[in-house]
Amino acid sequence: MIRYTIRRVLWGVLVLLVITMVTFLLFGPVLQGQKGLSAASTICGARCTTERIAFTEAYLGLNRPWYEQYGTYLKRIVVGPSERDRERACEKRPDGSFAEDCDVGRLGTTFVRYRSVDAVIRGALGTTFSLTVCAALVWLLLSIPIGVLSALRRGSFFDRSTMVAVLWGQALPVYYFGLLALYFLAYLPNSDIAIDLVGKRFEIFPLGGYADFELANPWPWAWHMILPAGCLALQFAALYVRMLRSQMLSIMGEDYIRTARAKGAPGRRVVVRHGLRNALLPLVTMFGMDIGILIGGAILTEITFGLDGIGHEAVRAVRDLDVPLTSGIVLVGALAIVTMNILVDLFYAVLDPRVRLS
Amino acid sequence: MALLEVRDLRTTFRTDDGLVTAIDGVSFSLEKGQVLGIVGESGSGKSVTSLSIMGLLPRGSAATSGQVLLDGRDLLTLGEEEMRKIRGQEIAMIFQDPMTSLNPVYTVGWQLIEAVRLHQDVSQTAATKRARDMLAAVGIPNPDERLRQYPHEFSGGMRQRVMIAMALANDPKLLIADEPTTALDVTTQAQILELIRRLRTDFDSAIVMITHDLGVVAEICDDVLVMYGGRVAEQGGVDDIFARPRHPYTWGLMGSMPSRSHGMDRLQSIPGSPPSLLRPPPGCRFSPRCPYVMDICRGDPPPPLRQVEDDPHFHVEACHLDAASKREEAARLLAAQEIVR
Repeated sequence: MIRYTIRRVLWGVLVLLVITMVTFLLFGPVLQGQKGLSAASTICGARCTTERIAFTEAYLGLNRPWYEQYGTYLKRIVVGPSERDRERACEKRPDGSFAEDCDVGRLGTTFVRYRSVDAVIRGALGTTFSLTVCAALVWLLLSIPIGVLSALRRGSFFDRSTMVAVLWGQALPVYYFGLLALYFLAYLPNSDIAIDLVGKRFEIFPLGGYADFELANPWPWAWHMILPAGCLALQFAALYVRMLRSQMLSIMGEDYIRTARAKGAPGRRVVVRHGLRNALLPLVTMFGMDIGILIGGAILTEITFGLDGIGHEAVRAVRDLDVPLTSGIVLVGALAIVTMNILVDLFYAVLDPRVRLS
Repeated sequence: MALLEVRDLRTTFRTDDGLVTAIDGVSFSLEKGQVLGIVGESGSGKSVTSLSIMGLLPRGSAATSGQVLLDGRDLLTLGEEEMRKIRGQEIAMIFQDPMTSLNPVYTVGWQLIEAVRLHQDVSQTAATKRARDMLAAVGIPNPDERLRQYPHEFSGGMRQRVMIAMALANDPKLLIADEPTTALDVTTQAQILELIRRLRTDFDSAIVMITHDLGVVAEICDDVLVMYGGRVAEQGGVDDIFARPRHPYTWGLMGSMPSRSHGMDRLQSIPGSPPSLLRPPPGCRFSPRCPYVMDICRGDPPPPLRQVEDDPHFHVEACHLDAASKREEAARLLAAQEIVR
């Protein structure tokens, strides 16, 4: 088990290393010098003077060979920003202004507004993390009982209505549900139409935005989370219900289920301890991957509900051609997925003894 | 009073294509310590008989009628919770494929302890001790270590031993073994049969042995029930059936057994395949494959079960062929075949 763990972790590190190379090649100087322009002049912008371009080139180290640049890049990510990075981030810029903050991160400094990429991501991560965790809780709580019941009562009215709902949930994008929910649960009750209809406004849900989680009063946080997490969860719940239903259908036909019943295990025990325990195995893998992907940014949900999460930042970064921020987000997303993958593999080995040997 | 008395058991499945009568009027009785063999091809209703007795058929699509009396109590009238208490405690069952019959995610010990604690109000320690003792009783070396292992760490034969240990954990009165040796290789088969024979005396439970192998029947059974197409073809004591087989289907089964006198000849087989129970042939269900078929065989009603005249013991068969021809044919078959006993 220990060897297995070490092997998984080493693989993860290797994968991350390859990803840093790919992001470096994609976003680094190799591809940036386009249409006869040097990387520095592309980054600097169309109206840069020659001196300014030369300064940018030296400042970003673009005049050095690519492997040296990659080495600096990797070193900053792994070891942390060097003293030189720190000094430079706080030094006086040519136009006479100072950097807005002296926070230098491992991931560099954004082109737009000159902030530490680490700080931007840190700020966005809380929102995305809240959204992911809340949505995951909701979709698990919804899909496990529904999926199991649907499988046990295959062909019943309940099962068939569930399957229709699943089809809807999977087919309709999150912004469809999101906008409907925002209109009917947030906008309409708090608009003039409500006054016309019932003579009163209600502020049932906010129209968007995020409130930080506070242990003393988690309500504002929860209040802002209900609609986005709910809408995001519905889509995943649909997928999980379908998966769990088909898993349960096949597992409940297994010989060991018959053995459990022949032993005299009560129905509930047969379903939960013997059936569900086995049916959940492939869902663990799926769940880990989904969490990883969502931490890398739930773009549509975040934009629909105006949440400043990773996904929102990613869209902004790409729109602004903010290379350090984009590559930073890619790295964080990759880190999330690789970490979740390792966790899933380890957890899976605990859940399924057959994996441990192979 | 017999330990188990099954009267006119009839099980019907509702399928998309219509009603299927999987077993049609099966009756037998079994005394304490006795072994009854139920023999027949796939689809003859052997397994459905055992699942009907256990009450393990899906309640929605299967309907069972008749009586299953265990110590005089009719199991078919019991509710699910009462039946649950009987399963595993009074009637236990082992299945055909030991490779898939144990839950892969729990240790063998966990599953044995579960079997004990489902029916006995004992501590974890006591249940563990019982599980350990059961593993030792079925001949598994290092039981303490084996308890902590998972099913995939056991071979097929060892897993079947675990299944037997689990079935016997609560000293059931009746053990139903549904083709317990079919999925095993020949040497393991012999070991498992030997084990069942030994445990039968140690634990003193009655056994219903479901098999398609007459060799297994000859080996450990007291009584035999030959089933074909969901109906009883021939039924009686094992010695009587082997000495005086009276149903053409029984002859067919015996003819397809390897024997010493046949040497390297090809095995005989019964031509054709088992009937569709959705639309069974009218009259005797064996008639389409029977070499002795007569006109009367193809008309309703099917031949009734009749006592074999020249047999002093209980021995019944369902065939229209006259007694004299049957004696003749059986004698010829037995002369040609030296059945491995």
